[in-house]
Amino acid sequence: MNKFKQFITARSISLGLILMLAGVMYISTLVPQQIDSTPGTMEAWRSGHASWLWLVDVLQLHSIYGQPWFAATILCAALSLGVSSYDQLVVTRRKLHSTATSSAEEIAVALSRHLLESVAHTNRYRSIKIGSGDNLKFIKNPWGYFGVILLHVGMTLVILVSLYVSLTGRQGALMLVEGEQRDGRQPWNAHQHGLMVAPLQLPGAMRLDRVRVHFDDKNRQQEVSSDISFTDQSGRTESLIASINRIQHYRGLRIYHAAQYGDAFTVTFTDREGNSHVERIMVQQAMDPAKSGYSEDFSVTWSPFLFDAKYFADADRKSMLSTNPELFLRMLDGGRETARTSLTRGVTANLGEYRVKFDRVEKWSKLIIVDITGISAIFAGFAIIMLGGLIHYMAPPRELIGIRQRDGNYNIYWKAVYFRDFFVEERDQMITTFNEGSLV
Amino acid sequence: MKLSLELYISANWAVVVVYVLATISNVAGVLFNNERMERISYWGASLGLALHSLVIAYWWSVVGHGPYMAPNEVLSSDAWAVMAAFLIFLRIYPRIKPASILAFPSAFLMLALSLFYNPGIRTLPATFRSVWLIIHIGLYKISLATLVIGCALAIFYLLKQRGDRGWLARLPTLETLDVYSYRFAGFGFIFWTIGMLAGSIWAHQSWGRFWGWDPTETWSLITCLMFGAYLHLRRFFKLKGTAAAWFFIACFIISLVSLFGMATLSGSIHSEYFK
Repeated sequence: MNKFKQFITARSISLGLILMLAGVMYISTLVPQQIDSTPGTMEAWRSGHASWLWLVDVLQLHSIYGQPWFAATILCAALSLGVSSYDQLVVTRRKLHSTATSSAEEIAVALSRHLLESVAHTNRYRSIKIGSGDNLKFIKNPWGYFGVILLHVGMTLVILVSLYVSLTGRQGALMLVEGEQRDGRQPWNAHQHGLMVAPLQLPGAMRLDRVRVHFDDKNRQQEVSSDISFTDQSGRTESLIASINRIQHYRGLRIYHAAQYGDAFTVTFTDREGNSHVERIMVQQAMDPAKSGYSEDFSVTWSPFLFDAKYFADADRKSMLSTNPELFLRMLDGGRETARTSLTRGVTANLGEYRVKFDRVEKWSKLIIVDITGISAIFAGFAIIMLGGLIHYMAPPRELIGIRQRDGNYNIYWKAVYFRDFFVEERDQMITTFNEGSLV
Repeated sequence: MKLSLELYISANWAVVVVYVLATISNVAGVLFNNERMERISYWGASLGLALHSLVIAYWWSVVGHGPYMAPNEVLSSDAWAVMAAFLIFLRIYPRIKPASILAFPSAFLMLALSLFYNPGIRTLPATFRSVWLIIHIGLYKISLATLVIGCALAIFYLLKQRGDRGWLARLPTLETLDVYSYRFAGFGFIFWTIGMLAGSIWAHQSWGRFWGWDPTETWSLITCLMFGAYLHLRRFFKLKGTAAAWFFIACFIISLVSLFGMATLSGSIHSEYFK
């Protein structure tokens, strides 16, 4: 056990773990990660780095943060931090009450107890109880000893709880148009869950009743909110208003309003054979009458082409409150634009080989439903880290030690536990006071 | 609105001119050991900072949000933070005085650069309306400012070590430069870490996740780990002197990549304001 403890807290191991984590994170910025890359990006990267693919695939570098070896490294770092925090606590408590002067500077000799106590008091050094003997010890900022310990304890807590959250957390996202309803049996638009839990299921049917996007008279967006209602299996309905940065709760779940919302355009595509296909295109909210909102590229089952869309809230580019938006559609072939058209409500136009008609527009929004426990512990860890860091760097402790001599006077030693050069003026001032006091 | 934009740009250029004059006076004062010139430079920098504060406050009232949306606002407030932090720390630690040679030009260069970023009015997205955003961004700005001072001291250490002649001889001792650089790395590290944690709380409040491995988040954590390694090396492995100075400069460059490189180049959610 002791060997393991020595190994995990060895300074070279802790430094190695820090550098290894930094290195792994650096690699994650070079190799595209599944979590935030589109299939196209991934494919392009892989075709350009064929000679590295064997290594990337063996180490699963496209999803570094989901790998057991990454979790093991994090766990080692947490263990190292945790064990070293305990060791530091033991050492600190010993140091706090020790009158060893080996690393301190002798700054005065043969002074009275009264003068020492008086100077210590004036300079805000607090008296500390020491085990035995007649020696005296005063410390300025004694809590400064515990800064690093708190910093390490906070980091340990954050890392361990983050691991727990990543294993047990689950969430799903729904992109709904006004009036649309989903229940637990229907798929999410996106979801993720930890290894130890099943995918999240809605506890009932969820309906998006209305999306409100408020603009002021200068066309500046003020607030976004979505009225939603949940209906459970017994038929009881509960209504909530979700808005950005204002979290709602329903049966232990947290409901977030995402930053994705806007206008959903219903467009009918008619091909040369006369077959009609109705598509609903969700476009991100435009923020200014002169600027457009954009959709993602999207594919459809009935055409080999990709499409995308953008729109202006007002065909006249004047008001965000207009009821006459202008929609632009593009058709893409292998990333190249092959056709483009613009539409207003009820208008029909040609888009390449298709006739397109803008039927109607409704509001949509994305809602994220989260089932996670442990966040409070993570934030408590954050608070401990902040406290530890501030104490450590803002209040370094300084010691004043009086070693009693045979004649009853004291030899005085001074020490700054770290950043000594910052406090030499304080030391020199005390030396001057001691010298003046000893002459009186 | 057009008039207020023109006024904003003109006022910013006026601040740049004041900062440039303060820099010239400061560099001349340090290089030629002219205390009067140095004193004038601090008055100039303080005047520039006061004007700069007014300009930022004015623009805040016009656009309705703090200086953290458009690239122009971000760089301008970074310049303000560097100048303000330097003048405040100078009162607490007078021995950092020579770091003005890097702090003053950093401030005017960032402010001048900001004016080439097409100043204009940006609407604040709803997700940005959180007090955590202000804490998150404010702490990063303080961190950047302390790291600029620390980096200046590390550079002076390397210069002085090569030849302790001329104006370099008037700098504090090598030991002092070394330990001050260490202390400012500590300040930078702690403000950076707390800024990152504040961002995490904000992300949880806005998106239901406290960490998402976004490129800027990842680089911010890399920076934090590198400064953590630097502090570990100094404390436990007795790293100091030349090696420590070079290590600090490397960490500082990484911090710049996180703050500016990622925000400009990557597809990060943090890059929104630089688009």
